[in-house]
Amino acid sequence: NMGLVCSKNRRYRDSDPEENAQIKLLFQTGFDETELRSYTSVIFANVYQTIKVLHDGAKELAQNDNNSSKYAISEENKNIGEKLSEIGGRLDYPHLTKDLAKEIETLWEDGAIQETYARGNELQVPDCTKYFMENLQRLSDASYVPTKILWFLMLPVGENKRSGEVYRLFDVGGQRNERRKWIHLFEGVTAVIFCAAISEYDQTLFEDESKNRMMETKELFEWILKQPCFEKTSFMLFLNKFDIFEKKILNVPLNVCEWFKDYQPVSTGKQEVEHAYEFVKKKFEELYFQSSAPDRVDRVFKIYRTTALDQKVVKKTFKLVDETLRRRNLFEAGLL
Amino acid sequence: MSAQWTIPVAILHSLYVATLVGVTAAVHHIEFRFDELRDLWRGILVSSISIVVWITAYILNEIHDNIRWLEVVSRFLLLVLASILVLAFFSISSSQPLLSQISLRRRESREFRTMGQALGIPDSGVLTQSEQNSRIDPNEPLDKLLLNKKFRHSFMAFADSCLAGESVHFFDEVHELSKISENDCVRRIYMARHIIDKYIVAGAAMEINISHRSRQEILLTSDLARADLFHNALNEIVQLMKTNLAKDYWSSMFFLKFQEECDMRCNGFELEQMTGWNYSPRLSSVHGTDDPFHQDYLLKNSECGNDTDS
Repeated sequence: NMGLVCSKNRRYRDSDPEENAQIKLLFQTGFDETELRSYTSVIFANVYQTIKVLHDGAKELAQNDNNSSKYAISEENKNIGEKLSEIGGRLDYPHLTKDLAKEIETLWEDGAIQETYARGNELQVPDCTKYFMENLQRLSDASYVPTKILWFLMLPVGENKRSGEVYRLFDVGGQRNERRKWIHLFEGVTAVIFCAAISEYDQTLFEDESKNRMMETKELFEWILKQPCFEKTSFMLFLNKFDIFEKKILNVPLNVCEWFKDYQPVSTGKQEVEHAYEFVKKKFEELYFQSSAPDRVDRVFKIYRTTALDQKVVKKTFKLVDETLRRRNLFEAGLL
Repeated sequence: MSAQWTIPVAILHSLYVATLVGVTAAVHHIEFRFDELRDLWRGILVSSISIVVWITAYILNEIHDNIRWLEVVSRFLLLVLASILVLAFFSISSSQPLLSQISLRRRESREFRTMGQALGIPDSGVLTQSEQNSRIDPNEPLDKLLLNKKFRHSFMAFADSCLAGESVHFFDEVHELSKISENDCVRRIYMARHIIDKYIVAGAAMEINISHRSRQEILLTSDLARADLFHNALNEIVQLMKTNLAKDYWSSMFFLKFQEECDMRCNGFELEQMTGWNYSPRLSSVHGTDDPFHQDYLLKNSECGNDTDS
């Protein structure tokens, strides 16, 4: 649940070489190794936190669930589990050594942990869990350098100059406590990029586990669309995490979410994925047209499917701003 | 009932007043800093006046039962006052001694700048020589660095400037809480309640970004004086600050200023030179009219500066 706000300001035209260099870095894949390496500690933190969530989750399920024997961690792995859970609760994580990676792998392969992971939608397990757990040996390698870049993190937040014009891009937090910091600052924004994680239809909020994530997204999107200050604002909806959605939809029916409860699966495999995606897309489109005045032609609404590894997000972002301004100019000239 | 009962009943009521006075005197050793005592006295005054009115009405009702209007009026008074007293009795929850009736926050801003000061928590301003002079090493873990008061204030000013100050403020207040001794339950509870109201409750003024589990654990606790009440929440918040704030801080003006000051102190400059830290806010910081923390950063910074001088 992350939002991006983009606004444009034409006042500043003088270029600053240092800033241009930064943009170059952001628009090309040119990341030097030291910069990439600085992310390893974040990745290690993720690994430790994830294994702790799984271990503690299994313990909780073993206590409370009807089918509790499924979630009991085997005797030989119990000590490893306790140790890793303790590490995950620390403030400072140790370097991921080969030994630690081996232990995490052993625990991950425990039947109870796998069962718990299958119920990951009830716990707050990150999406990258499986990827990290299956690549532990590579991560623990002394010469490890992160390879995958999450392009959303690389969006050029701040002031950017492109073909002589200045764009200002703000990245704002989506969690409830973060939301109210920006929700009143929207005046004069050219375009809003609304990112909705399409795969989260069976998950609950990090900050409130009684609320479905997709329902919260729906309510927030509707609320934003209805704001008077957005009458002229273009919207780009990123239905993000499509890669996860693709896998999930074949196991978890879309109608577990209240908003999609009238969904009927039609087939299997790739066709079903497309069908489900189109259904969700239609729901968001309906929401947009319900909450938007029909005569607003100077406003652009686009929906894209994206993944966090999508390199095109930056380009798409700027294309939207350009198109919005072009349309607005045409509109003001009376041609639309 | 005859008039002879009037005296015992009156004695009973005065006994009630006397007991209240006695109890107040007994708990007087607890340092009341929110005018609880005055509120208590006011409560006693109001209740005794209503009891006097009640008795007068009762006596009048008994003696002059031949005057029709007096009878009606006095019985009416009896009923109304009795119901008010019953209501008041039940509405004062014994678990929250008068706290609900006084506005903590309003008074706090008038008299004390922080809850810590209001509760008389010793200020950690007395820094050890080594802490004062050592340069901050960015490679040290953030939670250790934040124990240094000067560093914490600088980091807080930075976080406030990016509208992410609530995490640092939370860290600060939990740190204050940890300074209250384990045996001082009353003050611990006051402080814990203050922290919960300000940072934990959904929709709180400076709500922090913690998981549902940690929040529920705190809200559903049966022991507010517990030492590890905020432990999990604090862990999450420190992680959050590490990943989201620390990196930007090291390259911000705030850190540069902070280091400059450290150097100045090391070189034995006069402290007066540092009055009014003149921070220029980070370039990318958001400055809107809608500031969720209602603080003037620059003003606050200069206040901090003055504090360190005195």
